[in-house]
Amino acid sequence: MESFAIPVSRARGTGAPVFGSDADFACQTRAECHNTSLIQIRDLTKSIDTGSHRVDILKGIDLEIPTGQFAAIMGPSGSGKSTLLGLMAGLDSPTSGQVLLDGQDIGRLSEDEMALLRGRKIGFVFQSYYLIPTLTAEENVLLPMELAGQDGGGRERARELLGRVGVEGRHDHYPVELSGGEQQRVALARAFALHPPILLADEPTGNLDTATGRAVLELLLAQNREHGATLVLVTHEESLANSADRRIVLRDGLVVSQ
Amino acid sequence: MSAARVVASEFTRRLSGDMRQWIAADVAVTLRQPPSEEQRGEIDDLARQGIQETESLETYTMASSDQAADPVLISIKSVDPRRYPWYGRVELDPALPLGEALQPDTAVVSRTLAERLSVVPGNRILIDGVDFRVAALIAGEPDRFAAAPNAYPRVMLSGDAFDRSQIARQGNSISWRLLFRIGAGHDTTGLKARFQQVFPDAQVVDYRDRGDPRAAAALNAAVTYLDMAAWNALVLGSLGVAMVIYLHIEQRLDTVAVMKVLGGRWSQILVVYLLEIGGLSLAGCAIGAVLAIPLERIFLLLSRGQSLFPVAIEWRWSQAGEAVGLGMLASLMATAMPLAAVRAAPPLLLLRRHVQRPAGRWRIGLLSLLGLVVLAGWMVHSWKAGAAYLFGKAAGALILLAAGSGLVRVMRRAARYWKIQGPMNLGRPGLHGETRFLALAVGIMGVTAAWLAPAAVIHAIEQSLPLPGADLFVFGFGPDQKGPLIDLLRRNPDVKQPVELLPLIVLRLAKVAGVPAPASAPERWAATCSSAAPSAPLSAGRWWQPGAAAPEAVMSESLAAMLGVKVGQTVEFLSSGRALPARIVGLRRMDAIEEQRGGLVFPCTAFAGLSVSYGAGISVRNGRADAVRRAISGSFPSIAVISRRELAAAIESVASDAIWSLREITLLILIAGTGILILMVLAEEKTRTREIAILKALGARPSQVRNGMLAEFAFLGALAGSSGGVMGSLFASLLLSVIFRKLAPAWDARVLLGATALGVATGVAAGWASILRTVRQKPFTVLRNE
Repeated sequence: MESFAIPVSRARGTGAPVFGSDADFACQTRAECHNTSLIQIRDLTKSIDTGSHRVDILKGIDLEIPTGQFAAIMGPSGSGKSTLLGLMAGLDSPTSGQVLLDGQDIGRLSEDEMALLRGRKIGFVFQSYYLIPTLTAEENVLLPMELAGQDGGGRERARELLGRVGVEGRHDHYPVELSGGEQQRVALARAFALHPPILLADEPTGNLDTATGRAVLELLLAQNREHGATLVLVTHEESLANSADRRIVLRDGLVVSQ
Repeated sequence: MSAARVVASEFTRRLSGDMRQWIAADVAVTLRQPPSEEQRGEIDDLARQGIQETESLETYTMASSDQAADPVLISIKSVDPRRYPWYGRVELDPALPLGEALQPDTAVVSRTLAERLSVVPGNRILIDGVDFRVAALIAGEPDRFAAAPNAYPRVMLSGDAFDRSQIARQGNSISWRLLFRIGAGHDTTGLKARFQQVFPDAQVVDYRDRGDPRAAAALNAAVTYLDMAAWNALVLGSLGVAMVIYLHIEQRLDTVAVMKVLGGRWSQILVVYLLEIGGLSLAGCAIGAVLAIPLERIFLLLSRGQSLFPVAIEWRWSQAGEAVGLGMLASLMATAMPLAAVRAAPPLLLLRRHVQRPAGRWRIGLLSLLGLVVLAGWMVHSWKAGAAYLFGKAAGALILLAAGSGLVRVMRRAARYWKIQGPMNLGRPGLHGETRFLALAVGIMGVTAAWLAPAAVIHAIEQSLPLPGADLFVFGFGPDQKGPLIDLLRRNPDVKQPVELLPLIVLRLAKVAGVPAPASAPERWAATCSSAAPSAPLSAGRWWQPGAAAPEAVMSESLAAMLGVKVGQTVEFLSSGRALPARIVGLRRMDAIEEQRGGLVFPCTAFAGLSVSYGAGISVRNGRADAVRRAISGSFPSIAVISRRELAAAIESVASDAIWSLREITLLILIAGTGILILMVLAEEKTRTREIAILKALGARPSQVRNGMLAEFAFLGALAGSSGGVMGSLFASLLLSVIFRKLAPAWDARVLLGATALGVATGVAAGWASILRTVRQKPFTVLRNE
């Protein structure tokens, strides 16, 4: 395995911690990182009661994703990929089982602790972008920083991030004035805003053409390779999954290969 | 808004249609002296023809009790409980038949008097020094506002009890009201003419007219006010409905777009929405109309019998149908704008949730406005009044709209330098900052104006109290008592000299320039006199000359205009059975209240030989008002003495009885406005729900989301509440200045604070209701449900 050494101090020197603000998430080499399980999932189930039916989406998932790994989750529609990702991010609550991030059971966290965890350690990218339509591109990127209480320099940082994802000059545009690819890039910039150690992306290229999709993927991979962020990506695309360190396949709510 | 319409219609119906209850008879004849033998003979003759009569005496005097230190000026009425009232019912608490309650040694008293004298049924009070037991409290009296001295706490006695009190022998000013029940088969018009012939000095009113055009004008003004208030609720409702529908359609844009993509014609889409909105409106209006009854009952309970109409609303299909119809019409008119907005938008734009404003929006807006003018005109029975009221409101709304737009611009700019969440959200496109501000501010403007108007009426009356500077008023005494009373006051060291007298006579108009008075002319006039020509400026002519050969008088400008009287013409009046011709030598601009007190000013020599009653204003040394009052009451127990403060309180008390009813409508407007605002915010819930879910996914704590949103709504509420309060105050001031023909500022800092607090409370309540559920949910659950 290639050497993957990004000293924490260097990244901190830029004002952006490597794996988040919490030193517990930091590791020195890719190998070292891969030996630590950042995300642990134990016997996870999720069912939805629609009133007339009960749908079992996840039927007992066990999974470990080490720090710094790029894992691709694949599977047919309805296999539970997005639900699994949402549970990893604490965006949903499981019917049973546990999700542990760096050894911490997120099911035991209070709403405020969960919010803090989501803000500082998880960057989530939705297939449908979910930008706030009443905010400009810049304000959308600025939002996580404001929520985390970071004062000063936010606007400069937001513009720098927008430049990095290739939508410079569109900072004062509202989502409705941006194309799908541009909206997804803004969503990526927003996800990168606080340098989260975990990036979770739910079919981020699903609504985009091949070229734009590729560009979006490159941005995500750069976060994984250059900044050591753990990347979990839900996708249907084989080529995309081929770039991953690991491929996890779901079918009918169960992991069939990993 | 349907409930407001039903209540207003019922009030209007009673105000304009139930005149029999208002005068407790078919025909009421009011005399200033007891009927003569000849007149009694006529009454007996009418009785033989089946026309029933009962007599009611009304006057004022003083009452006291062992439990209260000071005596209280009261309005007193004697009735024959076997016959009175011919129409309506006297409601007592405890509920007793009037005949049982009124015995020779008992009285029934108003709740106000019971409170002032600290008595309850069973206790004893002294009326003019004579002992009576309080049998019950008066909860409702049908012809209360038809009586002459109606401003003071009320006492009702039987004829025997009245005789026992000896009030009649004290020389007080007494009104004799002869109440007739005509029965079927008699010609009311012919009978009224006969009454006018038999009682030439009297005021004759029948149930079909209001006798005095000034009273008719006051009633018409009240009816118009009620109709306008209901229309106000309707406009508020329409505004809310338009907002709700706009937001509703905005949230259904995907569906509309898909329908368009699949080849759905606009008419098909329109039918779907019109059916949906029509159905919802119908259900809402019907529920509102039905709710009017329990609302009215609750209100009656709260008003503790002080409401103008002590009877609960009866269900009327026609009334409910009218309310539902109006509500439906207003709702459907309000849907024109949002539906037109969606019509012009291509499906692709709709899918991106971007509705362009339609090119012809001004045309649609104008049509909707015209529709509302037509509705207002129809509802207030006057196109002119409807249009004036509407444009007054529209002007206020335009100012508020400009303020709202300014606010949004400021917020949009401020967002560059301040936090994204919170009040800054008002500047965000798509969050309808202007519309939310406008809806809330217009609602609060209506509520403030409706709330302030009655209070400002009281204030205007208080400001116009006679004899400025007086601490005590003594009134209703005749020429016999004038000398001894003045003498007493002159000897009292606490009284500042000189004591100012206000002589008053009641006149009946007979001829103007030799021609019989027009039917539209007021029948009864109050006139006062002055020994020397006052120095007050006149708008035309001059004050009278001392020693003029024929009596001269100065008339109010508006009365002269009503009668077509010009300076130099002679007007003939009747007073105390005598003709009193007067040459009008000057016209004076009087406000409405001054005019009511005395639209004519004579030299006092003209009053010689007439039945004059006097009032006097007494200035006393600091803190000696009660002592002087006791001195007067001790020597003249039947002469009414009241302090300026008590007089103001009495005016307020009678005005507030009427105001209770008006405030009920105000309350309904308030409920309508608040409900609609909450609905509007709830309709926005979906937009905000997605926003909240995204914020939470980005790491926002529930408290951060909650505080940000509540700050936004509180800020909006404070700005809209204060702006609406200011505009409402201006609107009420304008309205009252027109009514009173003088500047009548309706301005109260407490009401402005209240309006701001109402805005904040409404905004926060609505905001809280819209986010409560979402804040608790997991982001994924919310987004999945989308």
